[in-house]
Amino acid sequence: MRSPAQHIRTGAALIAGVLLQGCVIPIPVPERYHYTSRQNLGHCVPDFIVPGKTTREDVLLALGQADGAALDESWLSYGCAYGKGGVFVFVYPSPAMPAFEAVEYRRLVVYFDEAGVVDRAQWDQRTCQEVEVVTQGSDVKPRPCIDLAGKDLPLVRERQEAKD
Amino acid sequence: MVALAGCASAPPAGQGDWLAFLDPGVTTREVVTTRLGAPDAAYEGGRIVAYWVGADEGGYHKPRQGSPPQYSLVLVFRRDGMLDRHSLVKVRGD
Repeated sequence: MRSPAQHIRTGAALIAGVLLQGCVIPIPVPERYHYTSRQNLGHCVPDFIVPGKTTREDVLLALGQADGAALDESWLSYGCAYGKGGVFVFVYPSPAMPAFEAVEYRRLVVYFDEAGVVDRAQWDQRTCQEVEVVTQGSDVKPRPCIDLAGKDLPLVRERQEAKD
Repeated sequence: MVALAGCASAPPAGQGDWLAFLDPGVTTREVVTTRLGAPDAAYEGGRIVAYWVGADEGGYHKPRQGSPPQYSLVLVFRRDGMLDRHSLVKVRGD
């Protein structure tokens, strides 16, 4: 007579066998902030940021070190990446395993005048469908749909104004 | 098992009093640099500096390689090099 534990083990082995023969095992990816992402950004420009009043010092003391800055510090950028869930696909026997995930990128860019007072603040938020391919020893990451460090922004104020 | 036990029982890197020396109006920039090293970022010509800070059950510490820091320490100095204001901002973690 077989014990319940033996039945469970046999069943698990059968299911695993069926899935492995199918060669694809989907594994859910839970919602969470990305590993290196900051988590102290909300979903809009913080109330304490008031153009003409709040200073660069105030912003840094409240939000911490920026993720990006203009060369002349005319803007500071803060960003976060929040994974909204997806699926990681284990493909047997392929060494490459794709992961599909919806990622919400949020970025706050605070622009300052020459006296270091807030000129304006801009909030960007976008959710992107991403595919990441994980292989043994390497990980091909997709390019974020919003550059959280602000590398797409003008490097200095003069160029920014010329562009405007 | 031995390896797992060793990993699980790694001593905390935090030192409860690592940042306790920060005292506005008393602590100088030189003391900060001696205790914390070069800052991770500097703004407004060095008037404002920032350090990434890790934390565990032992307290605050320099972040470990490859481990995202939980806090950002921002220090504002006066023109005479004395600490004026500071803030320890939680940037990630529960």
